[in-house]
Amino acid sequence: MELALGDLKVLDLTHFVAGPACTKLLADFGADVLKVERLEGDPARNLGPFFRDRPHPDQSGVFLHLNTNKRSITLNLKSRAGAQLVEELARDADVLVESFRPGVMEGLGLGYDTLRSINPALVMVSISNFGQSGPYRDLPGTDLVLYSMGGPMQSNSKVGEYPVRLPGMVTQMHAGYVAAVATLMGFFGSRYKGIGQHIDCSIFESQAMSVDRRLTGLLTHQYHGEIVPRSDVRGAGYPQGVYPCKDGYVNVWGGLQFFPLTARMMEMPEMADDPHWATRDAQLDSQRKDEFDVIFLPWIIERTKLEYLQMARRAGLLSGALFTVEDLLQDPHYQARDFFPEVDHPATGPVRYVGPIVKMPASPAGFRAPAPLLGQHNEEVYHGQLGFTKADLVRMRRMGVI
Amino acid sequence: MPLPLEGIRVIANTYTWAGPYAMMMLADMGAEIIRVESIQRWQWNTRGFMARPTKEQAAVLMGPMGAAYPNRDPGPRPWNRHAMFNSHARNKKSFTVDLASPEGVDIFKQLVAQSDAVVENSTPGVMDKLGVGYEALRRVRPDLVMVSSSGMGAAGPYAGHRGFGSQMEDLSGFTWLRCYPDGDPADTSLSNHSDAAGGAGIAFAVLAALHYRNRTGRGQWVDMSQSENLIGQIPDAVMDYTMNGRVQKSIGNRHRSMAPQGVYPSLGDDKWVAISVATDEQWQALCHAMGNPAWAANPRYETSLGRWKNQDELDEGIGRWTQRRVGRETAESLQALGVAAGEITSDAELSGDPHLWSRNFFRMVDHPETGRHWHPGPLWHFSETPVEFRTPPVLMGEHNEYVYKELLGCSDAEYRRLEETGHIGMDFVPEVV
Repeated sequence: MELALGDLKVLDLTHFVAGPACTKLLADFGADVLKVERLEGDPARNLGPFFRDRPHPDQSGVFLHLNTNKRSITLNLKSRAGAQLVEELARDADVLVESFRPGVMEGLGLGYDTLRSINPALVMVSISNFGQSGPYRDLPGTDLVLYSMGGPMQSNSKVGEYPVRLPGMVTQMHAGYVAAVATLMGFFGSRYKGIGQHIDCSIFESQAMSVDRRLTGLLTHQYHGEIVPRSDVRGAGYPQGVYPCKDGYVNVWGGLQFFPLTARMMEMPEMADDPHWATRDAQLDSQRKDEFDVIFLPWIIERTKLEYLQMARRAGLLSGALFTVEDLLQDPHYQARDFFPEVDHPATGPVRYVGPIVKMPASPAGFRAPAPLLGQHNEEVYHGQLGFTKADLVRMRRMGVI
Repeated sequence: MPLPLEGIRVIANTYTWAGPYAMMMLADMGAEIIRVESIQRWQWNTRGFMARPTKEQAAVLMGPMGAAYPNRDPGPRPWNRHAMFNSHARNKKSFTVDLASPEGVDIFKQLVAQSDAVVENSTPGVMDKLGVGYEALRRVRPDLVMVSSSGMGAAGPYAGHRGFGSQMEDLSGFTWLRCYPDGDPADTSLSNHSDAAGGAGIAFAVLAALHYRNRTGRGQWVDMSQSENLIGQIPDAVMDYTMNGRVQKSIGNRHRSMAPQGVYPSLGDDKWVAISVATDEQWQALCHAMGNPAWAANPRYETSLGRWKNQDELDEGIGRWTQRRVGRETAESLQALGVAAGEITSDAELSGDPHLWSRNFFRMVDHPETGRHWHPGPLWHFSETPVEFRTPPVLMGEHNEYVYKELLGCSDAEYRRLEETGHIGMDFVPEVV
């Protein structure tokens, strides 16, 4: 079956998380992504969690997820011969994505001006912590630090407590998504309008421009100069906020105008228009809220997450439950949508992975191949594609080029 | 030079944040984004939180974010003045139509017939019920690309599930992983990261499906689940479960393998600084910045494993140092030594960030109903086709004449009739408050 991006050729010089997250989206939807790894491999191969907790370069869960459907060749970019091979491969690529520190590509003789002279229609995408220019350009960054400087972290907290970041590698993963959009737009410009160009993606700016509160907050500051204070984590009205239940926690949105629906869901319809509970003034009274908790807590603690979700749905209420990862993998909804398909990798055997981000029925994304072993496609690319003889390959290997 | 997406017309039936954010991305690179709005009904949490708040409500009740109007004044048309909309609405067009009437459905279909894509984020089933679902629209535009974004997707047992972005984050396993590690999850404040992630996912899907159409002539309907899209950003936790059976919990600001990492108090009220130490050299640099205190010379801290095992002690010692210093100075002194560090910025601090200003991030916009302000700008820098604010944040119904007369060929008399029947306008009907 023809895949959505089946004719897109990507030369992938990225490593760690953000860059590979970008090229993974392209690869899952059909692009031919050729991953160029340093001789010792993408350092993400050393990121945990590992299969059965055994550290091994072919068993990093992060690496395995981020590199599905890609091919891998090894190449020493610091050698002149290595840089020339990149030039050779760039001649034939639509897109080159890289995530080195700013200036490294120029230092290798592979800056945009050089690459453009080889392939004028090439789209070069550079993903870095703070972008290719500006005073922070060379600063070190981590997921935590980039989110704290650029993102709306200050409001992820309760009054008087320290702010908490987003989990895991989300800041870098998100920057990868945003860069994938930029890459496709650049590709449209190249394919349909003949425009080659260099795209500068900054992880910091993917947070400073995040619609998660930050955009509104920046313009709000221009509009009236005030800063949005720490919010009451539970919000107005009752029942409202996160409550414990039988097997975990649920997120309830049942106060104010929704209160009558809540009363019916609880099979206490007489409360629906009881002025003691239902009026706007009562709903905004914090003492009344505590009083209502005395009724609501015993009711909700009897219900499981899934029972509550079903009741809330039936009642027409907005609702959530704090799923753990175990909940996700066992949930009938995600199962029905086949969202965690099995991928068979030689180093791990079949393991369930996170599926493609959207369902595109005419050109379905999916897993054609697991993440590559280090240099798995050296022969295919250097011999089959670039026409080197097997003897050349031996020589290149001996010289430390591949 | 043309922009990369010039010539692509997308009809945007999108509200709140994820859909409109995706449309901003495409609009910035030249796609013609036509918002579908109605003067008969208020779109929840899109052009503000209320259609017509009083000045008093804006001044007292709504809080700084709710009352995000210039000078907290809602003005005569508050829907054109709210920051939650105006911050992403540049480069777009808007027209109004009442989709609840058969005539409105017909107008919508005529427009779709001339468009490449439709993007919508209503609850699954709503578009079908209105008569503008994919099956109906493909009849007027066989190669249409339609992307439907919803909380849990359009198929499956929870397809009709309703919730805000924060509740999708709960159902994605995201909230569980980001709450206070040692506290009650009920203390977790809302986040709307799923909207940001969803925006990127939607924009990606539109482009991928359009490219497929260009190559094959075939359109399609794309089912996007915001929760699935977000799970795509926590694969490490999922893989730890599928490979090791481990159910990860939140570790707060710490890192799963390197230490110390955390958010530490700074001088001032509610001021914090983030510090990440990855290597032995960076640990030595941090000790140096702290003035090599005696407590830090403990040999247990020399290796990364030793630091990781003793991070409670490290955090305490580092906190004692940071709390006497201005956060920005702490961060800069560490950055100069190659240690990743940064302030937790408020909107005011980020608004003055020298790096953003040096990269032409803020753009002066002259808007007919809000005046001149600096708006947050490009999400990326394109060397040949830079993001420009070609038009200011769009007013509701601003492009009615363009859509009805130029695209649909309405006569002046027909246009007037559609104004009288409640399709065309720039103000909500009085019943909308």
